[in-house]
Amino acid sequence: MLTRLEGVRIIDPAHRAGGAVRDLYFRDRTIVAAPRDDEPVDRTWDCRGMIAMAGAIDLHTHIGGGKVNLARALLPEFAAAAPVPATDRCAPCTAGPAPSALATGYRYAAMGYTACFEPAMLPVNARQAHFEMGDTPIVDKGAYALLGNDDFLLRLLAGGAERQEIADYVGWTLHATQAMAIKVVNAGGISAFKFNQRSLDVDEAHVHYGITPRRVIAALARAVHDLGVPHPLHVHCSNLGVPGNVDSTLATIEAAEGLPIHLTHLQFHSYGSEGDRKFSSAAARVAEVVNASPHVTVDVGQIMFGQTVTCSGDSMMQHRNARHGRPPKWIVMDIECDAGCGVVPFRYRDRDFVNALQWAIGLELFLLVEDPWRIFLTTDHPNGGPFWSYPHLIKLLMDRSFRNDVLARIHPDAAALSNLRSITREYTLDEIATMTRAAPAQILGLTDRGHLGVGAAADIVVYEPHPDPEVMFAAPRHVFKDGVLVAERGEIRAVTRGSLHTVKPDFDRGIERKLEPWFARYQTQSMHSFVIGDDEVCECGHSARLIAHRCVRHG
Amino acid sequence: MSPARTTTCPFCGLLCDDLEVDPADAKRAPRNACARGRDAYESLAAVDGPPQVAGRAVGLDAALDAAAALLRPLRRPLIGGLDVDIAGMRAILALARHLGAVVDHVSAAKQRNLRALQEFGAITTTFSEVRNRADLLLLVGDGWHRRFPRFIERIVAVDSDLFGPPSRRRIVTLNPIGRDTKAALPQDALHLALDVVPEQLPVLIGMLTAMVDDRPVDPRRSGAVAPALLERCVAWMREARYGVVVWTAADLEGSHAELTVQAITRCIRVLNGATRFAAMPLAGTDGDLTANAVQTWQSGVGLPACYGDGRVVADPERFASPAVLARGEADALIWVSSLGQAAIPAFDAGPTIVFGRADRVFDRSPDVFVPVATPGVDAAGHLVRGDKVVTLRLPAVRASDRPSVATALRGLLDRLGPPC
Amino acid sequence: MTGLTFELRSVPPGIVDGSVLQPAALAGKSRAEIERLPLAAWNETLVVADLFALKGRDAQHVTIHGACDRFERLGAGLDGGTLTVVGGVGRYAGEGMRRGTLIIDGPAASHVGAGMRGGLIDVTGDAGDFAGSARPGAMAGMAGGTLRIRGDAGDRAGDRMRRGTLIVEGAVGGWCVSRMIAGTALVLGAVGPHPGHQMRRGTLLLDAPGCELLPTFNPNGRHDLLAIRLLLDSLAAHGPGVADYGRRAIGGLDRWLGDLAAGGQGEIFVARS
Repeated sequence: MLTRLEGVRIIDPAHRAGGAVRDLYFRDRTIVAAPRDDEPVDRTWDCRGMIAMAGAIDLHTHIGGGKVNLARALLPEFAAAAPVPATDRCAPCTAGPAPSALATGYRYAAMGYTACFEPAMLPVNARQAHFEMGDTPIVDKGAYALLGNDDFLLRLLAGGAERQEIADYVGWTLHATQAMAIKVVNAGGISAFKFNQRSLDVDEAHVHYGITPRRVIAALARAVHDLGVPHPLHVHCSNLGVPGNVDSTLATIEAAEGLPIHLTHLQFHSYGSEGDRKFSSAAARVAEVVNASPHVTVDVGQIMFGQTVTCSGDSMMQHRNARHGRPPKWIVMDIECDAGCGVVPFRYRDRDFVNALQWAIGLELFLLVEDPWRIFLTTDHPNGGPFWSYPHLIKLLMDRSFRNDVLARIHPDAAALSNLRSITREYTLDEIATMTRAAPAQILGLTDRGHLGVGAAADIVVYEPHPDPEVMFAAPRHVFKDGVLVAERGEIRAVTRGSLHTVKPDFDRGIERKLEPWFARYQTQSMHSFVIGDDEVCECGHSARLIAHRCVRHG
Repeated sequence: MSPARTTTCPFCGLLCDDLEVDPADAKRAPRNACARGRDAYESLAAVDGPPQVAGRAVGLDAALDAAAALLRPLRRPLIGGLDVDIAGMRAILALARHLGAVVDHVSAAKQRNLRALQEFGAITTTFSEVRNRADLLLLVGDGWHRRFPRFIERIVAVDSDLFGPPSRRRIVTLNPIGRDTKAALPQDALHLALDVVPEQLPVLIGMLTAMVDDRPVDPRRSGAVAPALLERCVAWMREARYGVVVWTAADLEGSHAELTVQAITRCIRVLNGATRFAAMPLAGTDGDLTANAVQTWQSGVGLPACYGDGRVVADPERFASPAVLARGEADALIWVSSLGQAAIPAFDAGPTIVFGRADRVFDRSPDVFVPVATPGVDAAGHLVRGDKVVTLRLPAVRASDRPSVATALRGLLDRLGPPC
Repeated sequence: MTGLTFELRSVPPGIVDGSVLQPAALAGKSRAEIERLPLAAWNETLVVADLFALKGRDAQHVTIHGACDRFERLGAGLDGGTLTVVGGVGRYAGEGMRRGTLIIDGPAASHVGAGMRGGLIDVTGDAGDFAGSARPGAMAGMAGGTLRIRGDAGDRAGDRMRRGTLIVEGAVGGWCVSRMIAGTALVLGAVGPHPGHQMRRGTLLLDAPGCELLPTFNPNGRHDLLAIRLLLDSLAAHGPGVADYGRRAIGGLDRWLGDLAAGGQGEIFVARS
């Protein structure tokens, strides 16, 4: 079927198409060139006066897996207060601070998002994550496998393993867990916490293995690069939330030794320790280094005021920060010689000094990091706030007077300590499209997503322009997912199954000769039980399409 | 002779994946299965009955037609059992949404852990951490042996050298245990038996918590256990590098047992101020964790829940199946159960439709009985293991004509109209 | 103007949410509008006229006649006015109420006054478990107001209670004021096992000489505290039993501090015979 979006203004930074008005065509699930004059168009949508962008991509959003489901289980009182009733298309569910998988898919699609990536899939919990993502309708999914606190890798590093062997293990993990990328969370720290170590700085030795987070990060960044995985090592730095953690954040950038690295929820890692309260913004320092380091990309993890829940693999820091949580109930888990997790609810308040300054630090980062191709729009959903606050966040970035109005309402000492008021930058539509579409597609290696060029997937969002960007972005006029109209003005029109993105790196299967006895000796499942096959992972997604991205090996 | 094929046992939350199928005779219970598993494998192999309508043998289509005809006019079905695999639970929830049904799992025991988690939190650990790391185990009751027969063998009686030369584990049994249970403990472990009667468990946990927290309590007042034993236990807890408290929710007798779970968790929180300690609430049997996990991720709320009127509302008291049945609210009982053999409640207010294990025996024939495949025996399936984190794929060990729960319920849904 | 009265004519087939039957939701509505108000049930929505006959007009004084044990959340969120139920009520009567008076002339099922923040609930009969507590999974129970139960209360009365006053004139079941955060509870009858289990702060007053307390409560001597006298004075209006307890407290009450398994800043006072 050939569809025409007539007379639409194209915002497509990947093709430097910043505002040209033309017809956009797609056939079935793919964007095509304008057809020959004699070729019949099956359906034309009058989009005159409207704006088209590629479907938005969230490269860091906790949408599935054990810790998210624990967060749902932990907060029944909030879920009960946030019912999502059934419609003729949608099943009934709830959208508390950790929304159900169904609500997640519906709300992302209604907002014009067509792909979401779960950034912290524990390898031992990968099946559950795939099942949950499989029950998340409409949007495409993918997940990053967590490494860097697993005893197998830490032993390899402590034993001085060869670069090749580490790459093989990383490649095998991607293969066995059907992952899209590799993430490291508080490198070595989650493991160290199991040995009763309560903090671990970048150059501090793990009490049992004697190796430093710097080693772990360098080795993983190298392995990911060697394997040619498109997405660079995705790093949750050491010392999350600790005043003064800017130093460990900058040390982490160094640790990558010039290889590509992505720093996630940078807001939580850009804190100084100045002032009376020993808590200050280090956003300017961090932004300066990021601006000068072309191998670094970041996402922000903006906090939004209100009730949310933080779910993280970082059991060490979650245990440490649990006393600040509201309501006062929390979960910490040590997991399978593989990783950990911590779930702590938070209520961010604009009249709370720390929360207010966190809010300002996030915005400072957005506005001070210059290149929209290297900074991405996230709240680290749900950790900083729910993803459905993105339209509000976009307004904060695009509208300086609105931003200053909010700034005037937050804790005055925090407002005074932030240089936010002096920053005049306002994001353009083109920059928003870059940071929410073109750039995440590029950094993930999704060649046919995030743009509107011929051959791209027909993931297309059509907006009605509105003076208030929050209104415009909250409920786009049309959302097409793989060519199917899935949402209009915030209402779901069709519930489709998105695809699953993975990578298929080359690695030496000989690594299994080490892994098989490792599982037999120290794990409580066999290696055979651990591996998730292609057919199986498609079954997790109700016969979802598997899109396996190629990796081009370096070194 | 072809090599033995390994498989994974679905009959308790341990999901042991080291079972070996006899290549010559897939009907024999696999090697390494415990007595509990062996009985279930053998019982399932011995039967092969067709679906029934009112006790008469019929084909699958006829059974599903009959079920659909019975359900079509009804408004308040209760779907019970729910001891199924992930695909089965997905199908149950699709059916529940279609019918506006109440859904509840057959085992209410795990609610105790969930309630404590929701009202206080949890600090927990998983099987491999216990196996390699725990130097002290506090064992509540004896369900860790009775209900999870290979727990000691696979998790505790293993000398792990992962973090250095293995040391002798310390084991405290809080309640009296039988001779055979005691015999199952690793022989080289140091064993401290507190032998507190189960009713005194909340008192014991309170005393231990106050003592590890340096509160001025008088151990002589505990009444439940000799002060010297209490003090030894507290010393062991403080000396532990990684202590683990193990219980099975079904073992915590009496109402309000969730308070005891919370008290244990509070104690563990205190201990984590100085050392590392975690809980190991054993569960997962009869798919309790599986059913609740799927319900929670799909809807955002747990079990039991009601899908009436285009909404989903969870309420552990109102929608608990015994309460629903006692009030006479349900107009149909749909029992879906591919793993266990728990009794189906008596129900007279409408039809009873059973999707059950093939070896299920009835006192009174239900209106419709569809024998379904058991995941891990005659169909592949997925279950959540007893430590909540690991989900395993259970391959089928033998070929069978029985439909999986998912297949059977999809057939029913097709007959009822378009699923929503 | 006579109060608005609902007469129960037929028992619903199952549990029904009755929270709409209260002043704020009824004020300003015509009789026909009230008769069409929805009552959510399991898989259908009934309307008021399906179950009740109406009389009177004044929505500030609402009375319901009939055994309403299948109606849950009667008076939930009550924010003024008076609601009287002559018969009995289902679970969660007066849940989260803020102001006004809820009179339950008969028995109340579990969770009466759950999470209430203000106003008065007066139960003339017995109450089920979790009186003045919270919904499963929620953190804080009763947070203000007064909940008076003239009969017995079940287990876990005052569980997670955070503020306000709970008075039980009869006996209480087990685990009374478990996990209490703060507030005051007074029990004039017998007390079941484990009172004060995991209580963190707050005050429990008992009239059960020789009752057994957990070993994680330490005796703290006999006290005649001005604060307790003032408190009991302020409660004396709640009937002769309370007033009598207040008089006997003048000679001092035995004080216990605990629960030391949960920080130990709560207190239990026990009157001597």
